Amino acid sequence: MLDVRDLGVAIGRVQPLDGVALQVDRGQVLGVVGESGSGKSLTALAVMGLLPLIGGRVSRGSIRFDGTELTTLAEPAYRALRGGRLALITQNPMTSLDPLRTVGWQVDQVGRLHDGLSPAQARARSLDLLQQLRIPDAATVHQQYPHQLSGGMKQRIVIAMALAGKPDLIIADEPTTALDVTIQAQIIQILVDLVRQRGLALMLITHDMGVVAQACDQVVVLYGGRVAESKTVAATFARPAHPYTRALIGCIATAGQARGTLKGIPGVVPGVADHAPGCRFHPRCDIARPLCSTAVPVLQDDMSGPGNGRVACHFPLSQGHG
Amino acid sequence: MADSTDTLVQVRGLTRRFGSRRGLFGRARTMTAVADVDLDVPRGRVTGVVGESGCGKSTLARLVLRLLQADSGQVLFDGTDLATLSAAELRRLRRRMQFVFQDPYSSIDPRYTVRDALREPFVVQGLDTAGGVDELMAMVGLNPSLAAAHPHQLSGGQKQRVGIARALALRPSFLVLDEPTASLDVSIQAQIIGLLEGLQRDLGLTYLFISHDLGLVRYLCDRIVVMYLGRIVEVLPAPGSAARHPYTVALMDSTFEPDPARRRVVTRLTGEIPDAFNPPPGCAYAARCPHASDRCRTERPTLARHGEHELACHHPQG
Repeated sequence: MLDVRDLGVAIGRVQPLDGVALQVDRGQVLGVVGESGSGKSLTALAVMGLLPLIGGRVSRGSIRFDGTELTTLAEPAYRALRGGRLALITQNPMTSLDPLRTVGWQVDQVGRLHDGLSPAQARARSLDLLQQLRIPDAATVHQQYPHQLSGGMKQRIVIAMALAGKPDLIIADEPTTALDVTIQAQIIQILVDLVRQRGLALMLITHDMGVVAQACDQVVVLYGGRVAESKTVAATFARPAHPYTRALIGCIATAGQARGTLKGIPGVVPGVADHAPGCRFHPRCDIARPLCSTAVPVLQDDMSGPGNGRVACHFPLSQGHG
Repeated sequence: MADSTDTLVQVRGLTRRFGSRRGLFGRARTMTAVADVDLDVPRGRVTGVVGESGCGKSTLARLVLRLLQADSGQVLFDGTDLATLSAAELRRLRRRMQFVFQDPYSSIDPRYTVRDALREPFVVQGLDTAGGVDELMAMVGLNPSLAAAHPHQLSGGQKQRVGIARALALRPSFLVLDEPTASLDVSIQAQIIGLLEGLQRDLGLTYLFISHDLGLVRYLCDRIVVMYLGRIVEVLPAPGSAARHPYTVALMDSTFEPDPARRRVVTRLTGEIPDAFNPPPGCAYAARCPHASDRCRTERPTLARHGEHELACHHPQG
């Protein structure tokens, strides 16, 4: 459904994305994971064609959506895709909601604009969607304004708006980061159920390896605007090949983990203009060698086993290094 | 009750209400942020308080250090009732109890350098800073070259290290930490948790650790206090204790393990946290609880002790 290859993004002279590649199929959840500044949200903006909003542009590579090349798509055609077959859910639902309109009107509007439904048809479809998203008393909620709803409820409304456009691909950028844990769990469950039941493709952007383990089928780990590793969720956690992936997993405490054993990653994510030469992770890497500071590792097949995806590391862990 | 020599901080019947003023269309209303909370904080241990937004955990943290005044109830610090102290006595006692904020720099002048920020606690107490700043920076793993840096030049993790160093400046025995890592990246969060663990162990500190993250609390804390809508609903005596309150069970089910082999089936909690201005008469969790009965909707369960375990539920699980 979505096939991104060798994507580069430039903002002025800096190159915050440098060769990002990822694929999402129908009925599949792709997790895009990394720390702040790794390029996760920029990847989302690039796919949505929204880079001009932040003064950026695609500098190389391709983004194919169901066979259509998006990097050269004219703006009117892009606009027809956005909010229709291509939906974006952001961390803050108020980015997508108008505070002066009832939430029902806003969900209705998607059906009216994209499908030319009558007000009554649009309302009926909105109510149906709200019920599918397990919103209790949907008819009442339909008439409420965003400020009358909790954060979790607002995020469900944004999901309903996305679904009203009958999307083939949903990009959810940290959709639950601002929510309480019990609400987060429900929203993640709702999104995963939608993918399974409707055959949508979902690109789930998160910094939380717990959410990745819970929800995703495939995982792309980004660091410094490059892909560090890309493989199935099972292989990512069972046999992380990139030291960064291993370190990210090690940052989350597991049930029963002994005290004193939680490891952070030393140092901080560098700014886009301050990347180290060679492998961008090498200053924070616990197994870096001289080669890592001079040569950029190429993303290549991880040879440790079949279906093990790809890794960009000179000394991948799965091959006995580290 | 635990023996008082083992208990550094005792909280009894602590209650705090907030009022909203009469608005354009509405009447003045009050909500009880913390309702009749009893809590023992054992000396030299880490006590965790966990709950979702609006459960009263941050208000409780501030009440315990008397950064906020309680409407009723007592806080005894090492046997001394904080409410009976004069301003000067309280200031002296504050050397022994300190607060670490989620965003330490929201309370520091942006024109201060790191050195200025770390000197301030000494100045406030009328003490000599000689050598103190360098030692503090070393203690929290800050490079000495950062002493002249301003806050905007620091990363989030560095700022939180400064916040911790400030709290440690006067050699306290008790730290209240209010979501100290909630706004940090996971990699930095783990660094800071590691630092806090080391300091607690090496200095024999007592922590009250406030967090919404049950996974983190279970890792770091010796005892876990679970709050819901201003009240304690369960106290787990050990991090591995089985949860018996349906809310604690739901919190545990919502905490995703970083292991795809241990995916959770998320129970469909219906409903949301009730309006604190208009709480239900019975158990505050009843509207979301799959086990709720008529009794739960009319009669609020009280917190009862079962050995070391404390529980407020008519239908405990497990």
